[in-house]
Amino acid sequence: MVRFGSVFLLALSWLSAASAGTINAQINSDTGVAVANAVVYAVPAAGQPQPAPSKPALMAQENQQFDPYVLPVQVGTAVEFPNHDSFRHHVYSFSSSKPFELKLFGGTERQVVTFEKEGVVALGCNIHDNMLGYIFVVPTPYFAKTGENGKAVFNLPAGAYTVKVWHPTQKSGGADTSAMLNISADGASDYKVAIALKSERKAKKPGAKDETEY
Amino acid sequence: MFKRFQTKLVLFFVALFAVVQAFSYFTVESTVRGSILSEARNQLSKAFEVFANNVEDTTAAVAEGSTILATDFGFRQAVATKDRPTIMSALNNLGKRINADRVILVGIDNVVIGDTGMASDAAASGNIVTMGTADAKFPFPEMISQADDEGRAVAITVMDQQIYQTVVVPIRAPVTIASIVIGIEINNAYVRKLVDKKFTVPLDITFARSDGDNIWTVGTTTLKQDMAKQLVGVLGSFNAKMSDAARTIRLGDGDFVSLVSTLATPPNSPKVDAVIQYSLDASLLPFDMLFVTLIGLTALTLAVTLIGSFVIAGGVSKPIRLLDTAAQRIKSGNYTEKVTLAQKDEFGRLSDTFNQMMDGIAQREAKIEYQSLHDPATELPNRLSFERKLSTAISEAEASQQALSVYLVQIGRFSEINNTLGHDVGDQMVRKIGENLQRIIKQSDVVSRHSSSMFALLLPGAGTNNVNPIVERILESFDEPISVGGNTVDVTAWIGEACYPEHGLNARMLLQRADTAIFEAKKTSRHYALYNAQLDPYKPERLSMMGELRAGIDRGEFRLYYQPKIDIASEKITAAEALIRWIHPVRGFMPPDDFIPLAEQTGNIQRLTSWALDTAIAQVAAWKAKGIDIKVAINLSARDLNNRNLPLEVAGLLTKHGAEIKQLILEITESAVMEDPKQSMEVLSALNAMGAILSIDDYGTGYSSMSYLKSLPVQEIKIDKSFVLKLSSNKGDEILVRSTIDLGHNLGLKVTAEGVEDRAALDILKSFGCETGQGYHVSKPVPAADFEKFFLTSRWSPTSQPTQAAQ
Repeated sequence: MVRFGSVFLLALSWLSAASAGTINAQINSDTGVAVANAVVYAVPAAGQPQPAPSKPALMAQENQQFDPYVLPVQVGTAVEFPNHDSFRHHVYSFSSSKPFELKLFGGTERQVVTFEKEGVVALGCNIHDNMLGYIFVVPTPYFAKTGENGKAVFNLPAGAYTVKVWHPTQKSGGADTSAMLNISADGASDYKVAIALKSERKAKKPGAKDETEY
Repeated sequence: MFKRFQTKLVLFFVALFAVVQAFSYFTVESTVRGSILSEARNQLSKAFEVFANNVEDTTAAVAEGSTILATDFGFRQAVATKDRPTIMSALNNLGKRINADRVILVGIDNVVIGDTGMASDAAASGNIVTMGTADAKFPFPEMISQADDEGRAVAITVMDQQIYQTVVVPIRAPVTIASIVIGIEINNAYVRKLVDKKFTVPLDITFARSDGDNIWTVGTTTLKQDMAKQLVGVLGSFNAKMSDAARTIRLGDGDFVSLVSTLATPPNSPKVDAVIQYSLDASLLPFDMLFVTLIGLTALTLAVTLIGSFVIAGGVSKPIRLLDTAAQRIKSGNYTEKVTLAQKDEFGRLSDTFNQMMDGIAQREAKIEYQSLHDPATELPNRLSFERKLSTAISEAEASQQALSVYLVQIGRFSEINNTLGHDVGDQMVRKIGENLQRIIKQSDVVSRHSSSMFALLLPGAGTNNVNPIVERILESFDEPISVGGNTVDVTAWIGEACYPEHGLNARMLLQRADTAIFEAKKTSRHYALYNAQLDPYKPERLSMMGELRAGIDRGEFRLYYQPKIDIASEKITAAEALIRWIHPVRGFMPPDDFIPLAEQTGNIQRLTSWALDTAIAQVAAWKAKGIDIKVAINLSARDLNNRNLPLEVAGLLTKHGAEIKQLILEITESAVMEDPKQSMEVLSALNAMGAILSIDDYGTGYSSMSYLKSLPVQEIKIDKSFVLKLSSNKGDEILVRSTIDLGHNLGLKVTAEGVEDRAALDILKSFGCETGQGYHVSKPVPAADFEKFFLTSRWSPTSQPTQAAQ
């Protein structure tokens, strides 16, 4: 609900800009199932890079889970890690784009990490092995995350873009899913991509019971 | 073969026992084997479960230990930050802690980051050596992938030609950044531990690998190397899919029940088979003792059976053998030896019956023998017995140069007594006589009943010159009448004696001679005679004479001599008695008494008579032709009187020679007539009717029966010469002769006197009126020619003057 809300607001903010086009993305798995939490982003073929938003993004921890599961941010975005649980977490990442460690902190402590390099940052908690979250750092302000129906819609200025998709359980070494799209003003472009996922189970949100068996 | 009952019985028992034992042995063996096989299968599947559990247990332990490491933040950090020294020491430490033989760290994309098994020295030093080249890949990406998916992956793998129980655990930080691969080497120590500590029964286990070409290599085994090689040699032929089916594989000298199981391996890995085996021989080993015991017991029992059945069969067949030999003894006539069988059963009873049977046979045989050797009426030894005893006595006498005497006692009128008084009386009588004889003789002497009317005695010889006084006593015993059955019987007896060795050298000869002596005894007043060869009509030489007699007739050895018969009144020859003579070519002159009885006995008398009749009739005819007109007298024997053809024969001869019947005088004796009076009478009547003169010869010596004399168709009697010879000196004879002459005359018969030897006798006869005389006073018998001359020239000649006759 919250997640849906934020996407909706973001979309609305882009709709307000006048001379803008729209990308209608539909991400399915190679088995034809709508894929949620896939990040679709469009990198402008030319032009100055857009400044990162000044407002920090949020990667909360609540009920021993990262919320959201996947958080796409533009390069240079600061991300806050508010702890809504009554106990502490030890969030860390060994991802090469941004290794960091937020040692045992509670809800009252404000933790902010700024991600300057694009790439995947896998988040874990040293206390709670089942906690898994991703911060996907993209070099563009034009991105959106698919909902449960696999759709992602976002506006962007007219121009030439390379549109890509990323998903945490996407198999590596698959077919190239990026597309060169020319976005016209008030025009809507479709981006329909099927991606191979590692397994159905991995596609689910972490924290399922079978993950804790060992 | 196996003729003996005992052998058959023993063979049967032993064979039966052997068959039963063999059957039971094979039953036990098959049951044991089957049970072991079934137990083996059971144990094998259990063992396989144990192995699977062991894999699971070790896997769980390994996975747990590995997971602890994989989730350690520091370790994850080290891996994430590629802090190699830290990673390697941690892995090494892990390997030691969980007792893994090999620990490998595999990064993303299967790149081997570290491997404790790369170099043994490095492993020993506790350092992990990297794979060396960056592109060294872990060969089983499926396991990595599975571990990533499922948290761990377990499989049996072959790495560097070693079989491992392999566990893969992912390292998540929090996404999988690497995997830990732990290998537990399935080596000798592994299987030894499995076999020793986990299996409840002794089993062999072998792990073999194959690179896909179905050629198998021994990984590790508890078998001996050669057996293991043999095993992997046949492994390729098995359908590994049928892994749960136990099968029997022969390795070396032993059979193994085997369970072959293909273990789960990743696709890239060589295949791995686990073979669990149960040695049948080893399993049967405890039973070997059982079988040895069984066989030993069988052998022992067989021996006992053999001996036992031999003894029992002996017990059964021994009495049969005893009875068999007893029957053989009976067969050969031995009844004295009894069957000794001290048993109360059927055999005992049978042997008793056998013995009774033997006794019965012995008694009956003794009785038969007694009867065969004894006379039933007198209980005395019989003739057979006497002859035996006599033979024995002769042998003894011969050896001791002793003499013997055999006496035969003839009872007179025995058949008459039997016929008139009955056989019972006859038997009683001979029994009494026998008792008397036994009383008279000594105990050592033998008396026997020789024939119905004859007893025989055997006494020591008294010599031929002396008469044994016993003889007198025997004869005296017959003086008293014998009283039997209310009758008093006068019994006459004669005794004939023959002596050994004088009269014979064997029993038969002695008895025969004694018998002959009886004939002589009958002629004496003493009623006793010792054998005299001179008087024996049965002398052996007489037998040969029989044949010679017959030949003698044919050869003309016989002659007729003629003795003149004179008319006493005129003292002229009126007739001649033809007397037969045998001029034997060797013996010379034979008196008629020597051959006439023989001829009578042998049936030759008829031929002799025929010859005599022929010759005499021819002679009388010839004389008549010469003018010598006399009658001729011819003697006829009793046999001749039985010859019905005699009258015809006489008639034929008369015709043949041209003689007249009236010229014939036929002389017969009373005794000859008496043999068969009816037949004799017919013949005599026929001859008399023909006109022949019949004369009774030797009158006065035989029966001299008046009635016969009256009925016989005779014309003349001839007074026996015994009365005439001493006529002149013996008054008694004179009276007899005179009476006889008167008797004859009174019956109308003419009388001839024989034996006229002197003038005085002739004169007396003349005074008595006797018609005819004959004797040496006139002439002895002479040949025909001499008679002819005598007839013509002597003073008795009818042609001469009677005046000189007084001289």
